[in-house]
Amino acid sequence: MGSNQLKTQLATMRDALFKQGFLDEQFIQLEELQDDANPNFVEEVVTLFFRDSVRLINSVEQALEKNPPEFDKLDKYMHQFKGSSSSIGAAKVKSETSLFREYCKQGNAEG
Amino acid sequence: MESIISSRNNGFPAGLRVLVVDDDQVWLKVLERMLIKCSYEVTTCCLAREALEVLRKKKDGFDIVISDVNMPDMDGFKLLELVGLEMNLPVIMMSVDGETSRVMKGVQHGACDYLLKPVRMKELQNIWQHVFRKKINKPKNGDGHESNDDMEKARNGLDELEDWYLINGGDLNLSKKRKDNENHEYDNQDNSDPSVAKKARVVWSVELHKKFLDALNQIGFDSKVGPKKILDLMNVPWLTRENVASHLQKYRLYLSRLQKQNEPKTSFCSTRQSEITSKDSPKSFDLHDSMMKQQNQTASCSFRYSSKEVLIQDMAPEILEDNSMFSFSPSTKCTKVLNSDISYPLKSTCGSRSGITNSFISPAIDGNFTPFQSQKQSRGEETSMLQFIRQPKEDQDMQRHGYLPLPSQQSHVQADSSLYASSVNHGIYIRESDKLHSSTIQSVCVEYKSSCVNDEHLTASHTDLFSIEASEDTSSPKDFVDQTTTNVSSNMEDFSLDEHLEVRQFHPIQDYTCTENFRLDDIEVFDFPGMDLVTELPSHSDYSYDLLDYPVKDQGLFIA
Repeated sequence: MGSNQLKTQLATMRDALFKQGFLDEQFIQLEELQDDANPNFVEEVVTLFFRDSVRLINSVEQALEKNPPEFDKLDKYMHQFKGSSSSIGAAKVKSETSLFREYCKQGNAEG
Repeated sequence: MESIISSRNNGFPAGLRVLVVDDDQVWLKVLERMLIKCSYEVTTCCLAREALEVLRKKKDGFDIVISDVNMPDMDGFKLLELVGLEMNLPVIMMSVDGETSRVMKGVQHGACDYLLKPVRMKELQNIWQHVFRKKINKPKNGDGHESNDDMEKARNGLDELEDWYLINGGDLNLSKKRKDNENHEYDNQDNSDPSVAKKARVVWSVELHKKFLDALNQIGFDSKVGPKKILDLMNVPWLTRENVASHLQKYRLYLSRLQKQNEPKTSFCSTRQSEITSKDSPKSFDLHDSMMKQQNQTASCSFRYSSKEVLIQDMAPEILEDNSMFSFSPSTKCTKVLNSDISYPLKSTCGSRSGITNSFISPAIDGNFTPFQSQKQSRGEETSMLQFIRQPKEDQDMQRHGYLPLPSQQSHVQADSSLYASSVNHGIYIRESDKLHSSTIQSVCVEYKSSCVNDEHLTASHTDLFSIEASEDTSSPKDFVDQTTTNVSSNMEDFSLDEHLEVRQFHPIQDYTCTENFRLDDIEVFDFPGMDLVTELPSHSDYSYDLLDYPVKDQGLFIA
């Protein structure tokens, strides 16, 4: 019973993520890739993504601390971030990174 | 390549060997999974250098490469270029951003496709088409026929070819011209990278091509059709005469390629390429070892001679059999082998041709056959050299370029084989001569290995060549034959050996030495599955002519 409840909760959360635009259809693709041969595929990928993200965000912070911020570096990091976020269908992250890159190109430190 | 063919039988494109290069671990994982789902064989690399290493180590280990554009250690474009040059594999680029300029750059560097991340299963499922396209553009495989779709494919292949030229920095007059002429079509598009000397070109859509064909049919294709006339008939305002001209040329090449595909012999070289090369190859002979050029080399000779040779070619298979039987039977070997050898001089043009194809074959053959084969070969070369000397025509020149390089390549083989022969020894003459052979040839080998072109050598060989020419001239072909039938003088052998030497040394004079390797690579890399093909190889017909005795020789003379 408890597990059922958890499952519904999970499904709702997942739906919410889609509705709020955090995830896009790429995530569904990932889910489709998961099969008996790779039962934890989505989890593995998402874990990888988060691990990468932590590393990237650290780098981004470092680049931001410099004065003036190193825009090409930031841009590079953001590009990577965008790449990996697109792979798991993290739509919101992806659009944010796009925005970030725009600011980088303009040399806008505020963005 | 072979594996493609085989895997195709059990359900191509399943089993397509894909190398994925991406610095993004997440993507790497996802792509791997996706490709496996497509039932492809996947290898992943997270660094471009690593990928290159893998590719170099396992040449022919992959059918297609998918590479990210942005990588820390090497620009994806750079990788793309290297892979295109070294392995001639289709490369798909992928990136998150689909800026037109980026995509354009990718295509300019020779990417066969540019995928935008997130890459979907559907797109990956379809990547086999690039492998297939590459394959049908290899003249070997006669899959492509008439339909517009195939035409399209062929055209794409051509474009790739030209891209390739451009990437190599080779001046392809053709594409240069076109580029200039088509500039105005795409003026408003920004060509981000001026260093890559290529601009967008007229897209020959199916409809446009249809118009073109209609116009062509109206005029009649057999005669020399002028692009101007076609253009008028096509009635497309924005099209220029040059556009039509280049398309016409492509179309011609395409047709001739189709034609050639039906003949076993010419499967080596597509005429499409040969036409291009016959114009441009001299310029683009820099050292990149890739298929195209090999083919060009071959093409340049076969193209010119094709008309004469078709007949001979057709006879090939049976003849080869004869031939091989021949050299296998030890009792007759001694005399007969020589016999056949000596009749070479009679054959002039065919002879030289035979030299070429012959050398194609020998690497593929193993076992007992090899020594004799290569011996003959060497003689074939010699004779053709002689012929060349006798008729120093333009054509012959061409031919020479095409085939000269081979001997040096073969020198290894020959040296080995002659040694082998001498150890097995089938007769005194041969033995002696072979010893000579091996020693001289080996020395030549060494020279070649060092690969420095010694000026003294050159001059020496020059003079030698001429002296031989003289002696050759004095003795008529008939004399040779007589000698053969009565007894084979080791003199004769020595004589040819000398020639051999000189011929070899002579090569470096031309700048085309580089081709040697290519030719052989060609064989190994591209789908000549051993003996089967060998039997198809026409060149042997020449031999058989010889073996079949004298009337044929006459014919040979006649052709000369």
